[in-house]
Amino acid sequence: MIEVENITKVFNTQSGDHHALHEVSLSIQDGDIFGIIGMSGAGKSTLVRCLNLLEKPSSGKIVVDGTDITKLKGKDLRDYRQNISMIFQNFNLFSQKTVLENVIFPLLVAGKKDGAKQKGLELLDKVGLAEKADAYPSQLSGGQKQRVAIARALANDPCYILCDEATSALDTLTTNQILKLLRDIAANLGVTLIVITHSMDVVEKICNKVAVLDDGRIVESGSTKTVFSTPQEYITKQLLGQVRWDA
Amino acid sequence: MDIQAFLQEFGPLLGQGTLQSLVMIVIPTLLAYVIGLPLGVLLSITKKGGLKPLPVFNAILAWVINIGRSIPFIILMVAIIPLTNLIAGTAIGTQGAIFPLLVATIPFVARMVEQSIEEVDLGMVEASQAYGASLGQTIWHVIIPEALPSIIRGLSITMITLFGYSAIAGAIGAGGLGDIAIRYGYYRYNQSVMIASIVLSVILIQIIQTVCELLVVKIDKRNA
Repeated sequence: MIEVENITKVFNTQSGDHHALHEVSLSIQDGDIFGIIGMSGAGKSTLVRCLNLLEKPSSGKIVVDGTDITKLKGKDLRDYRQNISMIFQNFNLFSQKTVLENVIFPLLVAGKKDGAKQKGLELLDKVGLAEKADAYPSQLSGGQKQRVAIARALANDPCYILCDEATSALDTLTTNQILKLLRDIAANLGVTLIVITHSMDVVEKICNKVAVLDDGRIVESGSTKTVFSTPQEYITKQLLGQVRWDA
Repeated sequence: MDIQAFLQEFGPLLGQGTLQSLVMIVIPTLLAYVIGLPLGVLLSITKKGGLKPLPVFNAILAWVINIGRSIPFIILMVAIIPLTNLIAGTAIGTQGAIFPLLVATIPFVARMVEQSIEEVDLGMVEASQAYGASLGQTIWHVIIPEALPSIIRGLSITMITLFGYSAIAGAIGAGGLGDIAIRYGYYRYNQSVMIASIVLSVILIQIIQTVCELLVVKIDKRNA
């Protein structure tokens, strides 16, 4: 369970302080596929990067399974990150490593070398790419790259996976395949997914809960069904396409 | 003069010169990378916004490296003669040239490596961190392998720059092809020797460049 309590993130830029997040609070239950949706620049990526401390919140707490992770450092932080994996819009596969080497990277850095290769092959099999183990990322299509990234994200058996615009660089058909894969993984392995997206389509297809982020604030949240059927905020209606596009 | 007579007279000289040039390229290069590679990594990661920002340390390191880069080689070589004597036992000949060549090359290599590392996609570095890799693991398992093709391209530039420096060192008795070209071609108007040493220089540089390029093609998996 992840409880985000009043986190604020301020970036000190040359043109003054930029508030990327304003007192954001939300609660993610185990087993959720939790969507965080918003326009570009709403603070979605900052929020998700706070969850694994790639960004440190300026204030507030993030309590994960009883521990305030904003205080974690060094080894404790690295151990925590092995439990909260991440996939990215641009896949971020290591270009000089084979597919298999990419998948077992999290195991190697965790010092779990024994049986890593076997586990990597199993994971590749799970995402349907066993035959690509010795290929390099440059030889894969976008959808295949994201499958490899998903296999890599699963290597340490994490409880949580952060998906940062995981399908935004993919075409519709590939997006659907990746979404199905993510949904099945969440169901079969009991992994909690936090899905960052600007696409209502993604939320509608796989998320059971959703929070709408606008200008660094959560303006609306709840079950996907409720938010979609009775959107309260203008921004939500906009995202849902209920506002005339040329209004 | 026919070729045979030429080779008989100058072959051993040119052979020795080529060997000396090679020694003055390869040995300082190897040693310069042993020291310059970590320095380049440090320069890059301690920058503002780097993996381990240490602005004061970074400023001092950059300053020291810039000093090394700003002294023309011929002046550096002469200025550090006492130090060269102390370390190499002599400041003349090929043996005496290695240390000043090394001193001149380290800052060069550090900057080249720094640039190669800056080219690494930040997304990969971020992924490495997100999967719980430590700073050392990220450097060793991600940054260096990803930067390696570019580092090897830099290696050929380093070696070719060193060849230029070694010719300057040749002017004060370090030997090598540059030395031969100056002594025989310039001072004694022996055009054949000058041309031969130029041809050998061209061949030497072409080999270095080609080997490095082939190596890059072999190891770079981005076009696999």
